[in-house]
Amino acid sequence: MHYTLSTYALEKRDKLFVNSMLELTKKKLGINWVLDDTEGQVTLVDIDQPAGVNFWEAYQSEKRLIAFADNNHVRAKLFLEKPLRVQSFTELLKQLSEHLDPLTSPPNTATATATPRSHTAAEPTPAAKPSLDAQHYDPTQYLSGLLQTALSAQETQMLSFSGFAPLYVMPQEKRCYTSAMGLANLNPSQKMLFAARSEQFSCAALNPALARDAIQEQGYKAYDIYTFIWGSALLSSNGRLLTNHSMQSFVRLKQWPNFTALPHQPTHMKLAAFMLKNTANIPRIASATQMPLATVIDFFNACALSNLLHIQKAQAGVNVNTHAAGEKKLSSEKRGLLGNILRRLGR
Amino acid sequence: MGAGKTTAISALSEIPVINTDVRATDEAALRKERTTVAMDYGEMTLPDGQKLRIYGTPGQERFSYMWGILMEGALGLIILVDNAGDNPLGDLDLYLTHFRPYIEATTAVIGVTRMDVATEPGLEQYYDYLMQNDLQLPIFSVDVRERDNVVMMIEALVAMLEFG
Repeated sequence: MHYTLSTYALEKRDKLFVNSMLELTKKKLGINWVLDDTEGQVTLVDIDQPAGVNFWEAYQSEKRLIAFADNNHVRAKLFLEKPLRVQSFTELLKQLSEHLDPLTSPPNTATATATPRSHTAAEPTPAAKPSLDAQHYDPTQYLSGLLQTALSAQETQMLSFSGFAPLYVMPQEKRCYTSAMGLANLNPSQKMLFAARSEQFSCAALNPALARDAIQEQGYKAYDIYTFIWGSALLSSNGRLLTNHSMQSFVRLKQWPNFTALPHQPTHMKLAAFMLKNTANIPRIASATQMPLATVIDFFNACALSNLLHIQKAQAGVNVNTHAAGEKKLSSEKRGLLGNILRRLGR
Repeated sequence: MGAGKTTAISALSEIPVINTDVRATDEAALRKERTTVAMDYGEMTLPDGQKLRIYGTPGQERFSYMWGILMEGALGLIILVDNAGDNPLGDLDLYLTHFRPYIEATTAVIGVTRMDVATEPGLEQYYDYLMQNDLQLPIFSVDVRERDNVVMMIEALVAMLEFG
Protein backbone atom coordinates (compact mmCIF):
# COMPACT_ATOMS: atom_id res chain seq x y z
CA MET A 1 0.00 0.00 0.00
CA HIS A 2 1.30 3.41 -0.82
CA TYR A 3 0.42 7.02 -1.57
CA THR A 4 1.65 9.00 -4.56
CA LEU A 5 3.11 12.47 -4.79
CA SER A 6 3.69 14.50 -7.96
CA THR A 7 5.80 17.61 -8.22
CA TYR A 8 5.49 20.55 -10.54
CA ALA A 9 7.97 23.31 -11.45
CA LEU A 10 10.37 22.29 -8.70
CA GLU A 11 14.04 23.11 -9.08
CA LYS A 12 16.22 20.06 -9.59
CA ARG A 13 17.79 20.42 -6.16
CA ASP A 14 14.37 20.52 -4.45
CA LYS A 15 13.24 17.53 -6.46
CA LEU A 16 16.19 15.56 -5.15
CA PHE A 17 15.37 16.61 -1.60
CA VAL A 18 11.78 15.48 -2.02
CA ASN A 19 12.94 12.10 -3.25
CA SER A 20 15.21 11.60 -0.28
CA MET A 21 12.58 12.86 2.17
CA LEU A 22 10.08 10.34 0.88
CA GLU A 23 12.59 7.66 1.79
CA LEU A 24 12.98 9.21 5.23
CA THR A 25 9.21 9.34 5.71
CA LYS A 26 9.00 5.65 4.95
CA LYS A 27 11.77 4.81 7.42
CA LYS A 28 10.61 7.19 10.12
CA LEU A 29 6.84 6.77 9.98
CA GLY A 30 6.43 3.56 8.06
CA ILE A 31 4.23 5.32 5.50
CA ASN A 32 5.08 4.56 1.92
CA TRP A 33 4.91 7.68 -0.27
CA VAL A 34 6.31 7.41 -3.76
CA LEU A 35 7.00 9.95 -6.42
CA ASP A 36 4.70 9.63 -9.43
CA ASP A 37 4.81 12.58 -11.77
CA THR A 38 2.17 11.19 -14.07
CA GLU A 39 -0.75 10.99 -11.62
CA GLY A 40 0.04 11.77 -8.00
CA GLN A 41 -2.69 11.88 -5.40
CA VAL A 42 -1.12 15.11 -4.22
CA THR A 43 1.04 17.56 -6.18
CA LEU A 44 3.76 19.72 -4.71
CA VAL A 45 3.94 22.94 -6.77
CA ASP A 46 6.71 25.54 -6.66
CA ILE A 47 4.59 28.68 -6.83
CA ASP A 48 7.68 30.89 -6.92
CA GLN A 49 8.02 29.79 -10.55
CA PRO A 50 5.77 31.37 -13.21
CA ALA A 51 4.87 27.93 -14.56
CA GLY A 52 4.02 26.82 -11.05
CA VAL A 53 1.70 29.79 -10.56
CA ASN A 54 -0.08 29.02 -13.82
CA PHE A 55 -0.42 25.41 -12.77
CA TRP A 56 -1.74 26.47 -9.38
CA GLU A 57 -4.33 28.74 -10.94
CA ALA A 58 -5.46 26.05 -13.34
CA TYR A 59 -5.72 23.17 -10.90
CA GLN A 60 -6.26 24.49 -7.41
CA SER A 61 -9.94 23.66 -7.48
CA GLU A 62 -9.52 20.29 -9.17
CA LYS A 63 -6.47 18.68 -7.58
CA ARG A 64 -5.02 18.36 -4.13
CA LEU A 65 -2.06 20.74 -4.27
CA ILE A 66 0.66 21.69 -1.82
CA ALA A 67 2.08 25.17 -2.39
CA PHE A 68 5.84 25.34 -2.04
CA ALA A 69 7.36 28.82 -1.79
CA ASP A 70 9.15 31.39 0.32
CA ASN A 71 5.80 32.82 1.40
CA ASN A 72 2.28 31.50 1.24
CA HIS A 73 1.15 34.26 -1.09
CA VAL A 74 -1.67 32.15 -2.53
CA ARG A 75 -3.02 31.43 0.96
CA ALA A 76 -2.90 27.72 0.33
CA LYS A 77 -4.32 25.36 2.91
CA LEU A 78 -1.46 22.97 2.26
CA PHE A 79 1.79 24.89 2.31
CA LEU A 80 5.48 24.05 2.69
CA GLU A 81 7.94 26.86 3.24
CA LYS A 82 11.28 26.98 1.43
CA PRO A 83 13.75 25.52 2.13
CA LEU A 84 12.25 22.08 2.61
CA ARG A 85 12.54 20.78 6.15
CA VAL A 86 12.28 17.14 7.13
CA GLN A 87 9.94 17.66 10.07
CA SER A 88 7.34 19.82 8.34
CA PHE A 89 7.48 17.67 5.21
CA THR A 90 6.98 14.37 7.01
CA GLU A 91 4.27 15.80 9.26
CA LEU A 92 2.34 17.07 6.27
CA LEU A 93 2.58 13.71 4.54
CA LYS A 94 1.45 11.99 7.72
CA GLN A 95 -1.62 14.23 7.92
CA LEU A 96 -2.40 13.67 4.26
CA SER A 97 -2.10 9.92 4.52
CA GLU A 98 -4.81 10.01 7.19
CA HIS A 99 -7.21 11.55 4.69
CA LEU A 100 -6.33 9.65 1.53
CA ASP A 101 -7.13 6.14 0.42
CA PRO A 102 -3.93 4.15 -0.02
CA LEU A 103 -3.23 2.66 -3.43
CA THR A 104 -2.55 -0.98 -3.94
CA SER A 105 -1.47 -1.08 -7.58
CA PRO A 106 2.26 -0.81 -8.30
CA PRO A 107 3.48 2.77 -8.34
CA ASN A 108 4.02 4.36 -11.72
CA THR A 109 7.83 4.62 -11.56
CA ALA A 110 9.10 6.54 -8.63
CA THR A 111 12.02 8.12 -10.37
CA ALA A 112 12.66 11.83 -10.18
CA THR A 113 12.59 12.39 -13.89
CA ALA A 114 10.25 15.32 -14.23
CA THR A 115 12.07 18.60 -14.64
CA PRO A 116 11.21 22.09 -13.55
CA ARG A 117 9.65 24.24 -16.24
CA SER A 118 12.37 25.56 -18.40
CA HIS A 119 12.75 26.38 -22.04
CA THR A 120 15.30 23.67 -22.47
CA ALA A 121 13.21 20.79 -21.27
CA ALA A 122 9.89 19.37 -22.22
CA GLU A 123 7.11 20.56 -19.94
CA PRO A 124 4.95 18.01 -18.20
CA THR A 125 1.57 19.18 -19.38
CA PRO A 126 -1.29 17.32 -17.83
CA ALA A 127 -4.76 18.13 -19.07
CA ALA A 128 -5.55 21.68 -18.09
CA LYS A 129 -8.14 24.34 -18.42
CA PRO A 130 -8.45 25.31 -22.08
CA SER A 131 -6.85 28.70 -21.48
CA LEU A 132 -3.64 27.23 -20.09
CA ASP A 133 -3.47 24.24 -22.33
CA ALA A 134 -4.47 26.06 -25.51
CA GLN A 135 -2.11 25.83 -28.42
CA HIS A 136 -2.14 29.56 -28.91
CA TYR A 137 -1.33 32.42 -26.61
CA ASP A 138 -4.20 34.79 -26.02
CA PRO A 139 -2.78 37.99 -24.47
CA THR A 140 -6.22 39.18 -23.37
CA GLN A 141 -6.06 36.60 -20.60
CA TYR A 142 -2.94 38.12 -19.08
CA LEU A 143 -1.53 41.43 -17.82
CA SER A 144 -0.50 42.40 -21.36
CA GLY A 145 -4.16 42.31 -22.39
CA LEU A 146 -5.23 44.53 -19.48
CA LEU A 147 -2.61 47.09 -20.45
CA GLN A 148 -3.55 47.03 -24.13
CA THR A 149 -7.17 47.55 -23.18
CA ALA A 150 -6.22 50.51 -20.97
CA LEU A 151 -4.17 51.94 -23.84
CA SER A 152 -6.95 51.67 -26.38
CA ALA A 153 -9.56 53.03 -23.94
CA GLN A 154 -7.17 55.74 -22.73
CA GLU A 155 -8.32 55.02 -19.21
CA THR A 156 -6.11 55.62 -16.17
CA GLN A 157 -6.19 52.55 -13.97
CA MET A 158 -4.76 51.08 -10.81
CA LEU A 159 -4.06 47.37 -11.06
CA SER A 160 -3.58 45.50 -7.80
CA PHE A 161 -1.95 42.12 -7.52
CA SER A 162 -1.63 40.30 -4.23
CA GLY A 163 1.63 41.06 -2.45
CA PHE A 164 2.79 43.80 -4.82
CA ALA A 165 2.75 47.55 -4.89
CA PRO A 166 -0.09 48.87 -7.07
CA LEU A 167 0.58 49.31 -10.77
CA TYR A 168 -0.68 52.68 -11.97
CA VAL A 169 -1.39 52.67 -15.70
CA MET A 170 -1.26 56.10 -17.33
CA PRO A 171 -2.13 55.51 -21.00
CA GLN A 172 -1.91 59.21 -21.87
CA GLU A 173 1.80 59.08 -20.99
CA LYS A 174 2.20 55.49 -22.21
CA ARG A 175 3.67 54.76 -18.80
CA CYS A 176 3.14 52.61 -15.77
CA TYR A 177 4.25 53.50 -12.27
CA THR A 178 5.11 51.11 -9.48
CA SER A 179 7.90 50.33 -7.02
CA ALA A 180 11.40 49.91 -8.48
CA MET A 181 12.44 46.56 -9.90
CA GLY A 182 15.60 45.21 -11.55
CA LEU A 183 14.41 44.30 -15.02
CA ALA A 184 17.50 42.33 -16.01
CA ASN A 185 17.18 40.13 -12.98
CA LEU A 186 13.58 39.73 -11.87
CA ASN A 187 13.05 37.95 -8.59
CA PRO A 188 10.56 35.06 -8.44
CA SER A 189 7.78 37.27 -7.09
CA GLN A 190 8.24 39.80 -9.88
CA LYS A 191 8.19 36.98 -12.41
CA MET A 192 4.84 35.97 -10.96
CA LEU A 193 3.48 39.45 -11.53
CA PHE A 194 4.50 39.39 -15.18
CA ALA A 195 3.17 35.88 -15.69
CA ALA A 196 -0.11 36.54 -13.90
CA ARG A 197 -3.48 36.03 -15.52
CA SER A 198 -5.80 38.99 -15.91
CA GLU A 199 -8.32 37.68 -13.36
CA GLN A 200 -5.62 37.74 -10.70
CA PHE A 201 -5.60 41.55 -10.86
CA SER A 202 -8.21 43.83 -9.43
CA CYS A 203 -8.62 46.87 -11.67
CA ALA A 204 -9.94 50.28 -10.69
CA ALA A 205 -10.46 53.23 -13.01
CA LEU A 206 -8.92 56.39 -11.58
CA ASN A 207 -8.95 60.10 -12.12
CA PRO A 208 -5.51 60.90 -13.67
CA ALA A 209 -4.88 63.73 -11.21
CA LEU A 210 -5.55 61.46 -8.24
CA ALA A 211 -3.31 58.81 -9.73
CA ARG A 212 -0.51 61.35 -10.14
CA ASP A 213 -0.84 62.41 -6.51
CA ALA A 214 -0.65 58.81 -5.33
CA ILE A 215 2.37 58.11 -7.53
CA GLN A 216 4.16 61.17 -6.22
CA GLU A 217 3.32 60.38 -2.63
CA GLN A 218 4.63 56.82 -2.92
CA GLY A 219 7.68 57.84 -4.95
CA TYR A 220 6.92 55.19 -7.56
CA LYS A 221 9.18 54.70 -10.55
CA ALA A 222 8.04 55.36 -14.13
CA TYR A 223 8.24 52.55 -16.66
CA ASP A 224 7.31 52.53 -20.30
CA ILE A 225 3.98 50.72 -20.60
CA TYR A 226 5.65 48.38 -23.10
CA THR A 227 8.02 47.24 -20.35
CA PHE A 228 5.02 45.48 -18.82
CA ILE A 229 3.35 44.42 -22.07
CA TRP A 230 6.65 42.92 -23.19
CA GLY A 231 7.37 41.30 -19.83
CA SER A 232 3.91 39.82 -19.56
CA ALA A 233 4.08 38.31 -23.04
CA LEU A 234 7.57 36.95 -22.43
CA LEU A 235 6.72 35.32 -19.11
CA SER A 236 3.18 34.13 -19.70
CA SER A 237 3.46 32.70 -23.23
CA ASN A 238 4.99 29.39 -22.10
CA GLY A 239 5.93 28.45 -25.64
CA ARG A 240 2.47 29.12 -27.13
CA LEU A 241 2.42 31.22 -30.27
CA LEU A 242 0.37 34.40 -30.28
CA THR A 243 -3.17 33.93 -31.62
CA ASN A 244 -3.54 34.64 -35.36
CA HIS A 245 0.16 34.18 -36.09
CA SER A 246 1.87 31.41 -37.94
CA MET A 247 5.15 29.67 -37.22
CA GLN A 248 5.87 29.91 -40.92
CA SER A 249 5.52 33.69 -41.22
CA PHE A 250 8.75 35.47 -42.04
CA VAL A 251 9.74 37.97 -39.40
CA ARG A 252 12.40 40.57 -38.84
CA LEU A 253 12.98 43.08 -36.05
CA LYS A 254 12.17 46.67 -36.99
CA GLN A 255 14.52 47.87 -34.32
CA TRP A 256 16.59 46.61 -31.42
CA PRO A 257 14.52 46.17 -28.25
CA ASN A 258 15.80 48.60 -25.63
CA PHE A 259 16.80 45.89 -23.20
CA THR A 260 17.76 48.37 -20.49
CA ALA A 261 14.01 48.94 -20.07
CA LEU A 262 12.78 45.39 -20.69
CA PRO A 263 12.84 42.18 -18.66
CA HIS A 264 15.18 39.85 -20.50
CA GLN A 265 17.78 37.13 -20.33
CA PRO A 266 21.12 36.89 -22.15
CA THR A 267 19.61 34.48 -24.71
CA HIS A 268 17.30 37.24 -25.92
CA MET A 269 20.29 39.27 -27.13
CA LYS A 270 21.22 36.44 -29.46
CA LEU A 271 17.71 36.24 -30.84
CA ALA A 272 17.57 40.01 -31.29
CA ALA A 273 20.92 40.04 -33.07
CA PHE A 274 19.80 37.38 -35.52
CA MET A 275 16.35 38.86 -36.08
CA LEU A 276 17.71 42.37 -36.58
CA LYS A 277 19.79 41.25 -39.53
CA ASN A 278 17.80 38.35 -40.95
CA THR A 279 14.28 37.67 -42.16
CA ALA A 280 13.28 34.15 -41.21
CA ASN A 281 10.46 32.03 -39.81
CA ILE A 282 10.39 30.82 -36.23
CA PRO A 283 11.80 27.32 -36.82
CA ARG A 284 14.63 28.84 -38.87
CA ILE A 285 15.41 31.36 -36.10
CA ALA A 286 15.50 28.54 -33.55
CA SER A 287 17.82 26.48 -35.67
CA ALA A 288 20.19 29.35 -36.57
CA THR A 289 20.53 30.52 -32.97
CA GLN A 290 20.35 27.01 -31.48
CA MET A 291 17.60 28.17 -29.13
CA PRO A 292 14.66 26.02 -28.01
CA LEU A 293 11.55 26.72 -30.06
CA ALA A 294 9.66 27.76 -26.91
CA THR A 295 12.22 30.49 -26.16
CA VAL A 296 11.92 31.84 -29.71
CA ILE A 297 8.12 31.81 -29.54
CA ASP A 298 8.07 33.66 -26.20
CA PHE A 299 10.45 36.26 -27.63
CA PHE A 300 8.42 36.53 -30.84
CA ASN A 301 5.24 37.15 -28.83
CA ALA A 302 6.89 39.87 -26.72
CA CYS A 303 8.27 41.60 -29.83
CA ALA A 304 4.97 41.31 -31.72
CA LEU A 305 2.93 42.82 -28.88
CA SER A 306 5.48 45.63 -28.59
CA ASN A 307 5.19 46.43 -32.33
CA LEU A 308 8.82 45.58 -32.95
CA LEU A 309 8.34 43.14 -35.81
CA HIS A 310 7.93 43.24 -39.56
CA ILE A 311 5.82 40.19 -40.27
CA GLN A 312 5.39 38.80 -43.74
CA LYS A 313 2.93 35.95 -44.12
CA ALA A 314 4.31 32.92 -45.87
CA GLN A 315 2.34 32.00 -48.99
CA ALA A 316 2.78 29.02 -51.23
CA GLY A 317 4.74 29.93 -54.32
CA VAL A 318 5.79 33.32 -53.01
CA ASN A 319 9.49 33.88 -52.72
CA VAL A 320 10.11 35.83 -49.54
CA ASN A 321 13.06 38.13 -49.83
CA THR A 322 15.26 36.92 -47.03
CA HIS A 323 18.23 38.91 -45.96
CA ALA A 324 21.14 36.59 -45.43
CA ALA A 325 19.17 34.15 -43.21
CA GLY A 326 22.25 32.11 -42.57
CA GLU A 327 24.53 31.49 -39.68
CA LYS A 328 27.55 33.73 -39.47
CA LYS A 329 30.72 31.96 -40.36
CA LEU A 330 32.98 32.77 -37.47
CA SER A 331 36.28 31.05 -36.96
CA SER A 332 36.32 28.70 -33.97
CA GLU A 333 39.06 30.89 -32.52
CA LYS A 334 36.88 33.99 -32.67
CA ARG A 335 33.84 32.12 -31.39
CA GLY A 336 35.93 30.91 -28.46
CA LEU A 337 37.12 34.43 -27.78
CA LEU A 338 33.57 35.78 -27.73
CA GLY A 339 32.50 32.97 -25.40
CA ASN A 340 35.42 33.79 -23.09
CA ILE A 341 34.39 37.44 -22.97
CA LEU A 342 30.87 36.51 -21.94
CA ARG A 343 32.13 34.06 -19.35
CA ARG A 344 34.44 36.70 -17.93
CA LEU A 345 31.46 39.02 -17.63
CA GLY A 346 29.52 36.30 -15.83
CA ARG A 347 27.03 35.72 -18.67
CA MET B 1 32.51 64.41 -25.50
CA GLY B 2 31.06 63.84 -22.06
CA ALA B 3 29.22 60.68 -23.08
CA GLY B 4 31.04 58.60 -20.45
CA LYS B 5 33.65 56.59 -22.34
CA THR B 6 36.15 56.78 -19.50
CA THR B 7 33.49 55.76 -16.96
CA ALA B 8 32.32 52.87 -19.15
CA ILE B 9 35.83 51.49 -19.49
CA SER B 10 36.37 51.88 -15.75
CA ALA B 11 33.27 49.74 -15.18
CA LEU B 12 34.92 46.82 -16.99
CA SER B 13 38.65 47.23 -16.53
CA GLU B 14 40.45 45.26 -13.85
CA ILE B 15 43.32 47.73 -13.91
CA PRO B 16 42.98 51.43 -13.15
CA VAL B 17 42.09 53.03 -16.46
CA ILE B 18 45.05 54.67 -18.08
CA ASN B 19 43.98 57.85 -19.74
CA THR B 20 45.27 61.05 -21.06
CA ASP B 21 42.60 63.36 -19.73
CA VAL B 22 43.54 67.00 -19.69
CA ARG B 23 41.74 70.05 -18.44
CA ALA B 24 39.26 71.09 -21.10
CA THR B 25 39.51 74.53 -22.56
CA ASP B 26 37.27 76.50 -24.96
CA GLU B 27 33.55 75.56 -25.13
CA ALA B 28 34.30 72.07 -23.90
CA ALA B 29 35.19 73.43 -20.50
CA LEU B 30 31.61 74.53 -20.03
CA ARG B 31 30.42 70.93 -20.11
CA LYS B 32 33.22 68.91 -18.65
CA GLU B 33 36.22 69.82 -16.56
CA ARG B 34 38.44 67.07 -17.95
CA THR B 35 38.16 65.43 -21.34
CA THR B 36 39.96 62.63 -23.15
CA VAL B 37 42.23 63.91 -25.89
CA ALA B 38 44.10 60.79 -26.95
CA MET B 39 42.69 57.60 -25.49
CA ASP B 40 41.58 55.62 -22.48
CA TYR B 41 42.90 52.14 -21.92
CA GLY B 42 41.62 49.31 -19.75
CA GLU B 43 42.16 45.56 -19.58
CA MET B 44 40.22 42.44 -18.74
CA THR B 45 41.81 39.00 -18.34
CA LEU B 46 39.76 36.30 -20.03
CA PRO B 47 39.36 32.79 -18.57
CA ASP B 48 42.02 31.40 -20.92
CA GLY B 49 44.54 34.05 -19.83
CA GLN B 50 44.18 36.25 -22.90
CA LYS B 51 43.91 39.98 -22.30
CA LEU B 52 40.99 41.89 -23.72
CA ARG B 53 42.19 45.43 -24.33
CA ILE B 54 39.57 48.13 -24.17
CA TYR B 55 40.28 51.45 -25.81
CA GLY B 56 38.27 54.62 -25.61
CA THR B 57 38.80 56.89 -28.54
CA PRO B 58 38.44 60.64 -28.20
CA GLY B 59 35.00 61.96 -29.00
CA GLN B 60 35.84 65.30 -30.51
CA GLU B 61 36.25 65.50 -34.26
CA ARG B 62 39.55 67.34 -34.05
CA PHE B 63 41.06 64.18 -32.58
CA SER B 64 39.62 61.97 -35.28
CA TYR B 65 43.12 61.10 -36.46
CA MET B 66 43.17 58.69 -33.49
CA TRP B 67 40.04 56.86 -34.53
CA GLY B 68 41.52 54.86 -37.34
CA ILE B 69 44.62 54.01 -35.35
CA LEU B 70 42.68 52.57 -32.44
CA MET B 71 40.19 50.73 -34.64
CA GLU B 72 42.83 48.71 -36.42
CA GLY B 73 42.26 45.07 -35.52
CA ALA B 74 39.45 45.90 -33.10
CA LEU B 75 36.94 43.15 -32.32
CA GLY B 76 34.00 45.54 -32.13
CA LEU B 77 32.89 49.09 -31.62
CA ILE B 78 30.62 50.71 -29.04
CA ILE B 79 29.57 54.28 -29.79
CA LEU B 80 28.43 56.37 -26.85
CA VAL B 81 26.36 59.44 -27.63
CA ASP B 82 25.68 62.14 -25.06
CA ASN B 83 22.00 62.93 -25.36
CA ALA B 84 22.49 66.13 -23.41
CA GLY B 85 25.05 67.37 -25.93
CA ASP B 86 24.36 70.19 -28.38
CA ASN B 87 23.58 67.95 -31.33
CA PRO B 88 23.48 64.26 -30.40
CA LEU B 89 22.08 63.05 -33.71
CA GLY B 90 24.76 65.10 -35.48
CA ASP B 91 27.40 63.44 -33.28
CA LEU B 92 26.01 60.02 -34.16
CA ASP B 93 26.02 60.92 -37.84
CA LEU B 94 29.66 61.98 -37.59
CA TYR B 95 30.72 58.72 -35.94
CA LEU B 96 28.66 56.45 -38.16
CA THR B 97 29.84 58.18 -41.31
CA HIS B 98 33.44 57.87 -40.23
CA PHE B 99 33.18 54.29 -39.01
CA ARG B 100 30.74 53.00 -41.63
CA PRO B 101 33.26 50.81 -43.52
CA TYR B 102 34.32 49.23 -40.25
CA ILE B 103 30.71 48.75 -39.10
CA GLU B 104 29.75 47.10 -42.38
CA ALA B 105 32.66 44.70 -42.02
CA THR B 106 31.94 43.90 -38.37
CA THR B 107 29.29 45.60 -36.27
CA ALA B 108 28.69 48.28 -33.65
CA VAL B 109 26.46 49.00 -30.67
CA ILE B 110 25.13 52.44 -29.79
CA GLY B 111 24.66 53.57 -26.21
CA VAL B 112 22.77 56.80 -25.65
CA THR B 113 23.74 58.35 -22.34
CA ARG B 114 22.26 61.06 -20.14
CA MET B 115 18.71 60.55 -21.39
CA ASP B 116 17.65 61.43 -17.85
CA VAL B 117 19.15 64.89 -18.34
CA ALA B 118 17.81 65.43 -21.87
CA THR B 119 14.83 63.36 -23.00
CA GLU B 120 15.01 64.66 -26.58
CA PRO B 121 15.90 63.25 -29.01
CA GLY B 122 14.17 60.07 -27.91
CA LEU B 123 15.29 56.60 -28.91
CA GLU B 124 12.69 56.61 -31.71
CA GLN B 125 14.61 59.39 -33.42
CA TYR B 126 17.80 57.37 -33.23
CA TYR B 127 15.97 54.37 -34.70
CA ASP B 128 14.63 56.59 -37.47
CA TYR B 129 18.11 57.85 -38.20
CA LEU B 130 19.45 54.30 -38.48
CA MET B 131 16.55 53.25 -40.68
CA GLN B 132 17.06 56.19 -43.03
CA ASN B 133 20.72 55.22 -43.30
CA ASP B 134 19.96 51.53 -43.79
CA LEU B 135 21.81 50.50 -40.64
CA GLN B 136 20.60 47.78 -38.31
CA LEU B 137 22.38 48.24 -35.02
CA PRO B 138 21.51 47.75 -31.36
CA ILE B 139 20.69 50.94 -29.45
CA PHE B 140 20.39 51.24 -25.69
CA SER B 141 19.62 54.06 -23.34
CA VAL B 142 22.39 53.57 -20.79
CA ASP B 143 23.82 54.88 -17.60
CA VAL B 144 27.49 53.95 -17.91
CA ARG B 145 27.96 54.37 -14.17
CA GLU B 146 25.95 51.15 -13.90
CA ARG B 147 28.21 48.21 -14.70
CA ASP B 148 25.22 46.13 -15.78
CA ASN B 149 24.44 48.64 -18.51
CA VAL B 150 27.99 48.47 -19.82
CA VAL B 151 27.98 44.66 -19.68
CA MET B 152 24.70 44.67 -21.59
CA MET B 153 26.28 46.61 -24.45
CA ILE B 154 29.18 44.14 -24.58
CA GLU B 155 26.69 41.26 -24.61
CA ALA B 156 24.86 42.86 -27.52
CA LEU B 157 28.12 43.42 -29.36
CA VAL B 158 29.11 39.78 -28.90
CA ALA B 159 25.64 38.65 -30.02
CA MET B 160 25.85 40.84 -33.13
CA LEU B 161 29.30 39.50 -33.97
CA GLU B 162 28.08 35.96 -33.57
CA PHE B 163 24.53 36.05 -34.95
CA GLY B 164 23.91 39.44 -36.56
